[in-house]
Amino acid sequence: MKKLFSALKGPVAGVALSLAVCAGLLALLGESPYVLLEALQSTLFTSFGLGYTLFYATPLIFTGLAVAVCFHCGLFNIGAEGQLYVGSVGIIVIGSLFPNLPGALALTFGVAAAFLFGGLWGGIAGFLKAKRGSHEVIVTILLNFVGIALANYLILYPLRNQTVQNPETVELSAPYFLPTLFESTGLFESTPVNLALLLAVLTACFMFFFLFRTAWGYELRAVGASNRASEFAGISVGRNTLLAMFIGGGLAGMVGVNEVMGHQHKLVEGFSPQYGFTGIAVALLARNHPIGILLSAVLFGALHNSAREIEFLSDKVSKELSLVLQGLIIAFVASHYLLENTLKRRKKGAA
Amino acid sequence: MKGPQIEFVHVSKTFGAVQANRDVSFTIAANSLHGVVGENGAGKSTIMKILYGLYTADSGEIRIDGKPVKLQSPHEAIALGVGMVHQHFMLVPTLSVWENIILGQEPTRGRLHRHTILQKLSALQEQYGFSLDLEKTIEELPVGHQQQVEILKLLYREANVLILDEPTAVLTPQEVDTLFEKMHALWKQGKSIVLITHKLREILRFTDNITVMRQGAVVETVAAKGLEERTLAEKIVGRKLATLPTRQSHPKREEVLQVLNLGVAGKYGKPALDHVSFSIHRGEVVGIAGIEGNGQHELVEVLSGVNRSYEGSARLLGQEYNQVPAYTAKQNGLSVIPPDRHREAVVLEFSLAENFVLGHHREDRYGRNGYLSPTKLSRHADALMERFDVRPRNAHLPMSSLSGGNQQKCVVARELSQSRTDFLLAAHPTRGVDIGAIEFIHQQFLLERDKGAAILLISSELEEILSLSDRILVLYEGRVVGETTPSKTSEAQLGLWMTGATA
Repeated sequence: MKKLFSALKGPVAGVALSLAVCAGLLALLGESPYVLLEALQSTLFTSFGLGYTLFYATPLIFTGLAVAVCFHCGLFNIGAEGQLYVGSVGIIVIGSLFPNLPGALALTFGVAAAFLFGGLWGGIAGFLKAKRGSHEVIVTILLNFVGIALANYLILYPLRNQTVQNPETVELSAPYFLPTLFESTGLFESTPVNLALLLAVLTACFMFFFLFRTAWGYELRAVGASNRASEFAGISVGRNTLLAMFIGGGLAGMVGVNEVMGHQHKLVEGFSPQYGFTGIAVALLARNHPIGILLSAVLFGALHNSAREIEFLSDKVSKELSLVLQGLIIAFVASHYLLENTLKRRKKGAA
Repeated sequence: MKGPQIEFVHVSKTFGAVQANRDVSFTIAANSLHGVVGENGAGKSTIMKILYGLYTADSGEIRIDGKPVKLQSPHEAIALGVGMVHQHFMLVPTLSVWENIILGQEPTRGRLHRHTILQKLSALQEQYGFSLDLEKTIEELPVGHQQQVEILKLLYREANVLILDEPTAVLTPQEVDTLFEKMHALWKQGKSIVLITHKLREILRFTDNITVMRQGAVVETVAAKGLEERTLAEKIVGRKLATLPTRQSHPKREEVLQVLNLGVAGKYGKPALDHVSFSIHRGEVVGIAGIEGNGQHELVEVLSGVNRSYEGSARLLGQEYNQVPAYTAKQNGLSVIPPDRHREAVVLEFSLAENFVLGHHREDRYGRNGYLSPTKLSRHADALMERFDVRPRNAHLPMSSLSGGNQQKCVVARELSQSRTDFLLAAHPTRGVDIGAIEFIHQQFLLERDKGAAILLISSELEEILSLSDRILVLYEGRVVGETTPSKTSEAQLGLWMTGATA
């Protein structure tokens, strides 16, 4: 309990401080700071608002995990944005190849396609790092451009829906549709939140188990914490680098399950409001803990949602306010960790 | 000018919950050779850093020639004639000797009068018997000379009290002799020398008075003359030391490790290991002496399974190293204590419990089918901590929170508690570890030897090699340049071989 409290202390204080600063900013812009509270209230405490918040939180859980699992292996995965597009393309490709699968099999194929395509995309960076020592930050950043461009090409040409004007792919066949929560439970009427949320929560729990309760996760974390010690323990650094980037890419690819299978049933060009990059913030706020990522993804989902809300409520501020808030939260939380570490180091150095 | 008399009067210092110095009082006489000894964490470095102005005391005072002084920074200490040579040198490798010496005292405006500086330095060198090439860069100098630069730096700043913190850790026996000769000469010219070390033989040889510290407090200040090494060691640990167990068995015929014409490529086209051949039998301890950087590191990498691209052959129980995955070798009787504790032997961020299974984490006793059971891990850790006396006894603490000695005990515990140890590769197993733990680790090694393990001991402490080994090999520039036994050799002989002199 005490451990939980001390783990939450930083993030909660950071979020509270950022909200305060943001309220101040609103006041400066001549807008009532209460707009912020009003927006947060409606996005967290109304069925409609919460439905959308959770819909936005779902991809953030996946991308947050995608960043976190790599981080545990000492890798900085900035490529979730590209990976999530490639994963989404995977669903459309498999859906077009096997349109008539029976329901359960279609869903399994769809999810597996998202994971595999994303995983292979992330795996490229892992492979290059393991074999050639190429820095994963550079490779994943660059592969974002390639991945998004590749997805756009496929959306606009081979997979394009010729019957509409919009840049989007053909529709998936019905067996690939993932039911919304309203369809399956009657909750969150007229919001797109769907069963991918449940999948995301299960994935987070599974990732916790994988990282902290299995020998594979142990090896992956050992490599992240100390390359040399891992080598001396007979743990392959290269294999774990590849594995972490593959899993990371796969998790990012699962964003497509929410967007394509659960919501649009097709892939639309540029659908992601930078879920991949926000995932970095989500993971950072949660200190890369899979269960913490569930909470921080909901927070960032709510921020994204309330920024849209504020745009409705006010004519003085735009939805980019959410970016300001995200930035503030990260700055405050990071400085909290920094402060903590410096204090710790000073204590240790002194002894 | 004579080195001043320095008095510590009831000095105390705490860091958080740790009391680093408790009511420390002793006197360093004017123009004296003074030693400060104690285990790690006994507070000897802290009290010297207070004198050097790096830390401020919580209470008590320091008097120099009877006058109380408040030292807030090393600058003020230097101004009062107190200088310190740190264990890790504070030199810029790419700058020349003279540039390093004036660094921090260089004129901040106007011209740098190189000629005048060089003249002044040459005069200093002559006065104190140094002969350094002032134009060479630091990286071109051997370690022993780098240390002399540090000392010259202090003399240039007109220090009269020179504090040397573990000065011999990086030196060969010959370099140690040179250092002590130089220090002695300085002493004759009126300087005071304060030597902090845990090498008892050196402190007994070199100093006149020795202050023994334990747990932050001064135990006593004794005259070095006539003091036995063992007596001093017992004063330091505060109890009687056990003698090493005597051999219970003799080496068997069976070869455990066989190295034949082993070669590893090094930097700049020079081989790091060059046709190295030796073998170790059951129940035998082979020691490798050598100055660091003469191939020990590469040898460790091959014999622990980390480096798999070598020439020649290295076989453990008949199996070629690069034919067996390193992890498998660890299950088949290979135990390794890597040279760099923090980077290679433990994962500092992991808990003790996690560290105790490192390299054995896939074994069924910690959980089946890849599952790692937290309860099994902590039960395993508790048992090992009890058996090897690791403190504090909390398996959930991160490894980084333990003292060096306790970390090393964890490594030894892990490596010697496996189902079998046929070959133990121990590289610098007692580096930075205090006397109590050294004694314990040595005992464990000899017990393993008596149980039939073959042990390869790599160490820069000749004393350790001489007291544990059955055979000694000397490594120089990647080659074995000498083989001997402890009874047939001496530190001086080994020291000569280590610097490349042929037998």
